Amino acid sequence: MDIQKIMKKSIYKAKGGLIRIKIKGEDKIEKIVITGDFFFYPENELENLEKYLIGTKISEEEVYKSIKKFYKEKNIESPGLNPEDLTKAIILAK
Amino acid sequence: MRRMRFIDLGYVSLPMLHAIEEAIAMKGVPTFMLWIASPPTVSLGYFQSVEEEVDVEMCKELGIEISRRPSGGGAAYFDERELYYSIVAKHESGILPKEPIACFRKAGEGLINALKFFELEGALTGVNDIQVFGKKISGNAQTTMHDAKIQHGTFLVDFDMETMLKVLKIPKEKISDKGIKFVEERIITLKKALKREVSIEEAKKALIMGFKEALNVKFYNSELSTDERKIANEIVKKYMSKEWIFKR
Repeated sequence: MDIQKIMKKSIYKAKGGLIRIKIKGEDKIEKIVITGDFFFYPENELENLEKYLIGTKISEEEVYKSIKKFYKEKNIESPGLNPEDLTKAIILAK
Repeated sequence: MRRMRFIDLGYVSLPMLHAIEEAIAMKGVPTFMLWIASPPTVSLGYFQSVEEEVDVEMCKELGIEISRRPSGGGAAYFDERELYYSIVAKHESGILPKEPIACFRKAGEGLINALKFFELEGALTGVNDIQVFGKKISGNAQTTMHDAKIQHGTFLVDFDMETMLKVLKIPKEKISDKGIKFVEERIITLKKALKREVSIEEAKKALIMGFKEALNVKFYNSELSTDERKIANEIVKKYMSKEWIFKR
């Protein structure tokens, strides 16, 4: 089966840029791809965030908690784009 | 006043430009560069998806390259009508602020100074755009590597709107209206703002003056070292690879 077709998608406009989400999973995140025209430092940590989110329950509270923790652990800086924006983008995917 | 190396790179391909920036970041000589993108290229931000942002078939048809930047931000169409700058400086040099927003502001100062040279009033909007008359005239991006900041951006002397519309897929979330009118309402060039021809040479002079003031340095003309060239010739393979360009 083409994985692209069974992935849920969303586009969310944050102050710092457009976030595009592709996500697989009903209850929990099985796979997630985050792309867009934002800034995220250090850059290579975005891929790690995608890995980190696997297994997270798809609820606003749980997703936010995971992202917030990741930001703190990795000292992420993403001007105009905060964990709330990423959470909203993920929750909106359908 | 401290001295900073200035290099006029002339025409350069995007993969080679990013390889040069990386080589300079490694070697550590603080450098301000002006360059012109050739051949015409779609430049994608680090986190963007090729498939979502670019009409790949159209690029093939028109002979336009696709390239991915080491820095974030949005997709843009680059060709010889625009002028571009890059600043590479180790954090310890203190030339550019380490904090991303402050660094965008510093670069913004340089561009706003350059616009003053043309008696235009520029303003920094959002995170990384410079506007004149409420329309974008410069887009900017930055990244950090080898403990150095790479800050780069465009200065729209002139701009090929038709080609940009053909090769970029502009998300409907960003458009209220369609086509060329949409772009004309949002993007302005020096030529349009001044209602006259503006040469690349004139724009170069303005950027050199603007950034000299913003960075508080005195530029000395120079070239890449043999060592930097050698390193760049290796690194360029990464930026030309399919794995890099199509990584997202």
